[in-house]
Amino acid sequence: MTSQQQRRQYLIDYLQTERVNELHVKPEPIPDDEAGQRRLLHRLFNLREPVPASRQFIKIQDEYLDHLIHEKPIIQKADLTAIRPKIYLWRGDLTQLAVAAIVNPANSRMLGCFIPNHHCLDNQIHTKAGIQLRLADQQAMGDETVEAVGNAKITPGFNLPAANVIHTVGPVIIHQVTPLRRDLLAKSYRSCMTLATKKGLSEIAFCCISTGEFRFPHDLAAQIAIKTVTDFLRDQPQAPDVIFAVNNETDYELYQQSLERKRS
Amino acid sequence: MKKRGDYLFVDEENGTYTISLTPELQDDIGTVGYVEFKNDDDVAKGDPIAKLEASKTVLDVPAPLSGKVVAKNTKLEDDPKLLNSANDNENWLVKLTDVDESAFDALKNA
Repeated sequence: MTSQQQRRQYLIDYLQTERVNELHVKPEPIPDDEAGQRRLLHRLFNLREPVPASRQFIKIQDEYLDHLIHEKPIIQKADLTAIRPKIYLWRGDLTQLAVAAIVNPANSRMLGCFIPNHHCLDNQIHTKAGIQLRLADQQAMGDETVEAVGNAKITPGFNLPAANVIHTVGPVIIHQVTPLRRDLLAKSYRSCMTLATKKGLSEIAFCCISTGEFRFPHDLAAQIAIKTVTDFLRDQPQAPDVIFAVNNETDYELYQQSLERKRS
Repeated sequence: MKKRGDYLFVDEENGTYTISLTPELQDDIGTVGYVEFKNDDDVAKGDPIAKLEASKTVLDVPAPLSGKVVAKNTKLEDDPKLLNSANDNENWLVKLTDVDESAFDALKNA
């Protein structure tokens, strides 16, 4: 039986060899401790271009990620309680949700985060989905090299508990929030809802789009998210259930206050 | 007659509607480095008419009105800076016809 340690070792060796052969970079020394090895593997996943890998690599990677994901609880929609009809609010790790689709806050290249060990959600999603996701992103992009802000594309979730990933590029705030950028944030939510509805998905879990690296203010982003989704659900009864999956207390409180206020 | 919608100017003359960027939009997106026109000539309001890769964002410019694209300023493909020009003869994006006049009338005056 192969251990997680052996799988990790295999994956690190494979990816380092690839880098030696393709990019002529010296392999990094493999740390002795498990945490160091995990970080190194994570880093190698992040740096990898969208190119195919061997069948053996995919098999071992998929086993490795399956174990990794099962280190933490996997959450289903049935584990959550609706805060309003068709709307759920949940605080936790979006990548652990076993739902029809999670929303990835992508950048304009739409290939996932290439910054090694970066803390952004795009990075976590791509790392845990496996190398197949970046290849699927590339396929979804076709001839395009950049995606416009506010659009959405769908790919499978691969090793993630979620069946699909809906990728959208939210607006970046540069100096101040302008009306255009508010509209573009709303457009991102609408594009994701439209795509999920068209695909007949049963539920979609949103992160707080644009509020991380893209610096959109949390309170205004929450208002736009709730308003856009609520309007969409009112107009399209066949739309999927919505989970607002936040990862911090500030956002949780903002959403909770706003959703509970609207209900009364 | 010139009106505005979706951060764009819509300038009507003899049934042709010329679309260009408002100064607010130019400021918001920054310097445009690349312009790519969409292929569809029959556009509904909100459909993308061109993708602008600018310094501060990548923007799909939505059609401010439904209509038919009868001209594209393809000079922008080689020289996107023209979008920021003060000269109305060179800063336009597309020209539309077959526009519903009441939809145009409903836009704000520029």
